[in-house]
Amino acid sequence: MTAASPFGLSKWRYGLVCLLLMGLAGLLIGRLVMLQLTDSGSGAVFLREQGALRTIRTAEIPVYRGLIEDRNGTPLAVSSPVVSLWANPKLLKDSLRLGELADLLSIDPNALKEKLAFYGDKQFMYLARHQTPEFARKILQGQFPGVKGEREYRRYYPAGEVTAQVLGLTNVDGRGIAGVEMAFEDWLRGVPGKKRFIKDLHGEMVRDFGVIDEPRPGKTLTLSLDLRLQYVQHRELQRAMKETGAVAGSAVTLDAWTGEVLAISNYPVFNPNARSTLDYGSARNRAVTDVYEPGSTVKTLTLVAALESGQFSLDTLIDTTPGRIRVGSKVLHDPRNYGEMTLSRVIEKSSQVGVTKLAQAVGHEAILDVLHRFGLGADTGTGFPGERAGVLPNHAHWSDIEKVTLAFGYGLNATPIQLARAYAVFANEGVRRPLTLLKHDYDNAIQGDRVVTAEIARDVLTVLGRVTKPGGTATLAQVRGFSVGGKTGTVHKVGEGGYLDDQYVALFVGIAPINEPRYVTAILVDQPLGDHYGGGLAAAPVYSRITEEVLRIRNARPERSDTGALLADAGVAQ
Amino acid sequence: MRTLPLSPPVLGVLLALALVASGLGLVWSTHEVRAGYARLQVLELERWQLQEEYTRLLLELNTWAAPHRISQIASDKLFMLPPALSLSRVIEQ
Repeated sequence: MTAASPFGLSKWRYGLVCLLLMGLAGLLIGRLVMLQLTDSGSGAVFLREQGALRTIRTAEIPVYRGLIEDRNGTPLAVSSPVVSLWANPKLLKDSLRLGELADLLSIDPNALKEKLAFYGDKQFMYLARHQTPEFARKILQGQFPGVKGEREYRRYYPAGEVTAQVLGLTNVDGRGIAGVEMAFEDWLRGVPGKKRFIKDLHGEMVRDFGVIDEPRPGKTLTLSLDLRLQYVQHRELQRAMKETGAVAGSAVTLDAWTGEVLAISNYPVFNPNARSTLDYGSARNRAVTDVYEPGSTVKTLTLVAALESGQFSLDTLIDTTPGRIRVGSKVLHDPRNYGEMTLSRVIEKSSQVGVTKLAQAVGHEAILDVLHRFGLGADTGTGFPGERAGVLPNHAHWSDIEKVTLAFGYGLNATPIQLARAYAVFANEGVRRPLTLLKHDYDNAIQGDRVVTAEIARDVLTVLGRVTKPGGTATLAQVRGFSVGGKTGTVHKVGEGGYLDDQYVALFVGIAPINEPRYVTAILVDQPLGDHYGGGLAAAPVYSRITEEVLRIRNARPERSDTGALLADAGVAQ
Repeated sequence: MRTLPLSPPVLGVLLALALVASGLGLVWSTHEVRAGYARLQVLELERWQLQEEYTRLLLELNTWAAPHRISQIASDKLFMLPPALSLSRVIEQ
C-alpha cells in the first residue's frame, strides 16, 4: 500500500477527479462570463431582448377625435368614450358560464358558441363593439374568463339628420369616410399615444414604464355653419318636399361677404346616429355633389353678357312679338306675346324670345366667358369630398340652337352651391370669392377676384329685385319687412329619351336684403308633382320662408318706408 | 503616508450603515413610485370617467336644447310667435 489516502485511493486518481470537477466548474464560469459580461454569441443582449419580448408590451393610448362645432360653438359632432368587449376564445370557449354571458349580451348562446368555435385557435375576437361604459362595466364585473374591455371612442351627432350630409360619417375605427369628417380628417384625427409596461402570465399589467409617445387628441373644428339656420333650412325643405311630393331637394345659404357657407341641407335625409339603417343615396350632400341643368337661373348671367357688350342697357327695348321665335328647326315660345319690352322686363318675365334675341346679339362666346368667370364649371373651394364642378359645353361646332340654349341654361350643368356662389358675385359688387365651410372673420375673409364691374353688378341686383315684385316671376319669394331679389328656374328633367315633358326641376336663387345684399340662398326642388312645378311656385316660397329666418337670426336691419315706420307686414302679398 | 481620519473599524461601521441607509432609501423610493403609479392609474381612470360624463352631459344638453324642440315648445306650449314687424323697433348702435 502506498501512503494512506483518506479514501484509500491513489493520489493521482484523487488529483484527476478534482481537476476534472474544477474543469467543469471552470467551464460553467467561463460560459457565464461569456453570457453576462463579454456578450459573445447569444449573450446578455440577446437574453435581455428575449426576456423583454416575453414580458414587455406597448399599448396604444386611445385619443378622442376633435369636436366639430358650428360658428356659435354648438357641438355638431362629439366623440364619446365607449367600451368594446372582446374575448380570448381559447380561454372562454370551454367556460360553463357561456349561457350567462350570452344572456347579458342579449345574443343567442348557440351563435356565441359557434363564433367561439370559429375563432377557437385565435386569441382575440370582438364580442360587442362600442358599448356604453355602464353596460360594459356590468359585463366586466361578471369576471368571465378571457373577457376584456377595450376603450374606444364613438362619434355622436347631436343634431342628427339636420347636419347629417354635410358632416358626413366616420367608420367604426373612427376615420372620416364622408363629408367634413373626411375633408378635415388630418385636423380632427388625434395621434394615439404609446405606453410600455411589463405584463404577467395572464397579460395583466404589473409595471408601467411610462408613456413613450404622448397622446395628441384631435383638434376642434369650427365650421361656418349656423345650426339654427341649418335647422330652419332642414325644416322648410322637409315641408316643401311634403307639399310638392318631390323626390329630392337641396338648399344652400351663403354669406356673400365672407364666402362662408352658413347652412346647407338636402332631402332625403338619414340619421347618422343609427348606422345600421344607413342608405348611401340619402347620405349624399346633393347641394355639392349633384349637378343639374340650371335653366333660367343662368339668364341673369346672360344679362351680364348683354350689359357688358355695350349694346344694351336695362332700358333698351326688345321686341318679343309674336311671342315665339324660330331657331334652326326649333321654335321657342313665351307663355304669351309680351310685345315690346325693356331688357329688364325680359329677365323679370324670363322671356325665352327676349333672351334668344340677346344671345344672338352678344354671341355664345361672350356668354360662355361670363359663365366661366362666375365660377361655373369649376369647383367652389370648399374642399368637400365628392364635390362636382359641373360641365360647361365645349363643342367643336356650335349649332344655332346650342348657341341659344346656353343663354337659358340648357346644355350645361352645375351644382346648387355653384349657382349660389355665382349669385354671390352680385352681392359682392362684382367680386367672386372662394367658398369655405370654416368660420372666417369678416376682416380676414379670403380675397376674391373681380369678375364684373360694380356698376353691372348693381344693375343686375336692380333687375333681380324686380323679379320678386308684382309682375315678376317670383312674387312668392318676398320676405316680410325686406326687399329681396332672385331668379327662378324651371328645367325639364332628362330621361332616357331626352327631355321629359312631365318631370321638372324647380330652382330659385335669391339675394337678401337687396338694399344691403349679403345672404344668398339657392333652392332646388327635384321633381315636384302636380301643377305647382315651376321655380316660382315650388322653390320661391321655400326661399321666402328660409330667408325670413336667415335675416332674423343674422340680425339684418329691416327696411324703413319713407314715413320712417318699418315696412309693415301688410306690404307683402302672401 | 496619510492617515485615515477614522480608524478602519469605525469607517467600516459607518460605510455599513450608509449601505443599509441607501438600501432602505431604494426600498422607500420604489414604494413611492409604485404608490405614485397607482395614484396615476386612479386619476387616469377618473379622467376617463369624467370625460365620459362630460360628453354624455354635452349630448344631453344639446338634445334638450335642440332647435326643433325649442321651437315646438315655444309654439305649442307657450303659444309664442315671432314678433310682427310693425311691433319691432330698430335700435341703432
